[in-house]
Amino acid sequence: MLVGLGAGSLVGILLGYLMGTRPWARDILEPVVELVRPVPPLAWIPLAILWLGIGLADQAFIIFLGCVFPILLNTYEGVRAIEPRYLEVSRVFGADDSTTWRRVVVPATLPHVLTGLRVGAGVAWMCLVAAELQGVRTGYGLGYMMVVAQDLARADRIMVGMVSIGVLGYLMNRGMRGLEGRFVPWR
Amino acid sequence: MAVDPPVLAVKGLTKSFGDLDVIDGLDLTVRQGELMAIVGPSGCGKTTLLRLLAGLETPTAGSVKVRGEPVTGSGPDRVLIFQEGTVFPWATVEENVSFGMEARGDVDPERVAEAVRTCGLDGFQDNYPRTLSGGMERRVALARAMVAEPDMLLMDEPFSSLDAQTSRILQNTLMRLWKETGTTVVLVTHDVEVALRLASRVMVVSSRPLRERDVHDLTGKDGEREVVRRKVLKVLEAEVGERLY
Repeated sequence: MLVGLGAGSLVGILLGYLMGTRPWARDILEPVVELVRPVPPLAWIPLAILWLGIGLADQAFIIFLGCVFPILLNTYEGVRAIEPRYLEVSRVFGADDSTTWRRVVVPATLPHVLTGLRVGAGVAWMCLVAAELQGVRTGYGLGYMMVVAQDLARADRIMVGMVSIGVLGYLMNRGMRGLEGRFVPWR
Repeated sequence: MAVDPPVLAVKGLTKSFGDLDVIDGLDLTVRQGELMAIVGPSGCGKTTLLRLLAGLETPTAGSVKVRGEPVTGSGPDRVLIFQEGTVFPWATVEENVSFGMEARGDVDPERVAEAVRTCGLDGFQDNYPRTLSGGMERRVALARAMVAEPDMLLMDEPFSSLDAQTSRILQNTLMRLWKETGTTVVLVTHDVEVALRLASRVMVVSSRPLRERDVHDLTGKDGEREVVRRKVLKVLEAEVGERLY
């Protein structure tokens, strides 16, 4: 989960900024992104199992695919939504690129990036459970517990699993919102 | 007498956006330490003029020279204060003001604190712009420009959409700063009264495309302000085809 989300965040944010600030990057990446994005992350499971085997690597891969797009697209939108006037202020004062990045581009896009991370984390969580339903060897994970319960016809266990997933997802979302409040105090 | 080139020398400045002629052959010379007001009807191209002076736009024809050097882009020697809404919402008042220095190089906290004080922002250092009134926001923009110590301050309708009292107080702040620092100021406005109250020289310009109509020197001629006022109004009323006052 953490590896997939971490890699997804890193790649999503970097490509999002790249697409937002460099027209050539947007021209190359936009078709690729729009082509891959509609394929549900879960549709990658068979390929992930074939290539990476059943285990943590394939889960991380699925999670990466699930969270990278919301993060990338939110970052990209954030860059596009920067008020041109703020960039002009920076120019008027003769600020160099690094000052403009630190003082204008990053803070201006931060709310969008955090929204992307929150949505991405939610999707990552769903992918994790779904990947566990499919591709876990033995012994761990809520998804695995539910598959076993299905074999044993223990509906109660399945429901406990579902409620746990819901509660954990809710807490994660709350946590991310808390982070947004902390890092975006000007709203 | 020394023959230093003027702070600002504009010759035959012309700007078109496609078929739209915004400025047509404007000549303008501004001397060191002047407060030059350019008065014209709303939508006459004053903002475009300032953007050209700031180097945010390139002229279609003609030249803009600062101290004899052609302007090739924006630079911290000429700071433009936009009409509205350019204070960074993600930064506190203090951070906004220090940006003016940071862009040039090192931040001197003393100077930032001084600018905060002289612009009447004491006690609001840690506030975010969302919590400020329109007048306070203008003060932040003014302080941010002052810490950059520009040769020339370019101001776009600095007192528009403020109530009369706030506008008056901000005008006094500007005048105090202008006298203390000796900065050259070029401000554009549609407001004749503001121009006559503050300026050492007033240029009246036409509706779009912007052309020079009249220039009045007001230095040491306080008694003649009423005469100039009538002349300026007459030109402006002819331009817009309506009685204005």
